[in-house]
Amino acid sequence: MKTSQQIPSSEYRKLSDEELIYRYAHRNENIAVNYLFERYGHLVFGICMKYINQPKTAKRTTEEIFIKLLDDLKRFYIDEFKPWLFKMVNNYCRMQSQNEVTIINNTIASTDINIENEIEKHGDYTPELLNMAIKQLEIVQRNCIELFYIEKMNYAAISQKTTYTPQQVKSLIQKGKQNLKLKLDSFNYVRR
Amino acid sequence: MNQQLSHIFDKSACLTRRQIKDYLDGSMTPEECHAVEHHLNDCIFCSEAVDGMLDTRYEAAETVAELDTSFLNEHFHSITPQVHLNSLAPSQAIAIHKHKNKMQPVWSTTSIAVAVLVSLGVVWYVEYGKDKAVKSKTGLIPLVAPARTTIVHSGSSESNATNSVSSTPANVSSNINKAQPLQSGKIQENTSNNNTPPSTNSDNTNGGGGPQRIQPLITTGKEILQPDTDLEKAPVIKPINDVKDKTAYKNINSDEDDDETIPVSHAGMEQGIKLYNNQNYSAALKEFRRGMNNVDISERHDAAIMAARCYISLGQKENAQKLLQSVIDEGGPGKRIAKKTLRSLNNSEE
Repeated sequence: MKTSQQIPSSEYRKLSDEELIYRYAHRNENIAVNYLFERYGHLVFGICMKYINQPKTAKRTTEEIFIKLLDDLKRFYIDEFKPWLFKMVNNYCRMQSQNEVTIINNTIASTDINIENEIEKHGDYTPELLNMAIKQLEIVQRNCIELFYIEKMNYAAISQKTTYTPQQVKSLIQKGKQNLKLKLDSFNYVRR
Repeated sequence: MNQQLSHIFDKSACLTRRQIKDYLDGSMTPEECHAVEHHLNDCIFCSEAVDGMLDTRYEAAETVAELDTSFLNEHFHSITPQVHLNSLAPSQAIAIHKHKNKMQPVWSTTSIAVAVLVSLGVVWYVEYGKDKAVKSKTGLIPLVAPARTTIVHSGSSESNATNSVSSTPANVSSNINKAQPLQSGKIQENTSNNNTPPSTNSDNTNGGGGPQRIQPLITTGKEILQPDTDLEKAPVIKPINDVKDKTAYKNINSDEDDDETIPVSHAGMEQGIKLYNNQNYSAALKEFRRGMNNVDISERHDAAIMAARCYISLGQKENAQKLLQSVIDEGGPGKRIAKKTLRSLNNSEE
């Protein structure tokens, strides 16, 4: 049923996740969920693939997760949809794969999931601080970061240039970024 | 270098379906691939999703391309409006169910039950209602009246043996010489007279001083009767239909006096009941025997039953049994009471 406030379909793509959730949960605009699926369906499928490793089963699980989402969006107040969805999908997949998950107040006690929020909380860093922090990284991490961000090489190219596999390259870059952030935060703390 | 590193923590939008598909297919240019990986380093959601699809990248890429929202649309159409489609609820036609007339089976059941009850009531009335009416006419009279204890000065043991009842309420005193059939006045109340020897004591064949038995046989018509055993001999009641006129009743009870053959009126029956209640059984018996000649079968039976009770009270159970049996054989309204009385009589004998 079209309401007077309902916007054209093309306008939904411009709305944020939270706005889409609001329109679905409070205005009963079911089409808003279609756009959420358009944004995150393939990512949810990728995570399901990580646990299930069978495309058809993972696809079915993805659909189940979004059916569950229809109820959850109306039941819970969701401040940031993307981290919440990431946690919910991981939780669902782990439950499906019979892994024990410690669930406390609808959150998962896992360390790697909190990285998302920490990365997003970065501030502005001066180039001088960045140079100082990069020089303090391990050589392997520093080389990978420099090749990726300065030379603009992709994982495959770095892998060919170094002896590491693309996955190792990816891991070294991510760990280097985490260490870099920690060092930059410590510099900012000393400066204050 | 510094400017390039300044974008190291920049946020970018999550990867689209096409970007992931192209990245997995390897159909991206190095620059596009670098941009995707740049985002992967920032976004753990996309990074883990890509990691999950890397092992079966081609199959995963195909499945990603097949993903669509058709299952959501199906779900929205299949679920009830109360859960998720409240806004669509008014647009749906409200189903109007025509309720069947539920009173119909109730009425039919009730009518059947009422019909059964009415029929049972009619049957009960036919079977027992008339008997109850007879009972109400005769009153709540005890079935067997208490026998009067009378001390009889028996002149001989034979007389006691023949009577076999020591508490005979009435003592028959009659004149042998006169040899009259039993008259109504000859049955005396023994309360005052039984101790007094009869005036014709010297004429008694027994010669004893006690109550005398009338020995000579008296012939009345065809039957040979003993004058004092007319009480013992129960008159047999015949249905009035079998009798053409009242004179025939005289023949039935031919041993009775003429006044006993005259049908007693309702007042006469009441008089008999009154006498019975006053334990004057002999006089009551006379009244009831007259009532047994009545044309009305119910009154006739009432009289017969009451006469039988008088016999019982007088200790002449055999006569009572015969009388009751005749009522039972004839059938009719008094049959049930007669049966009951006879049964209780037999039980008391046992």
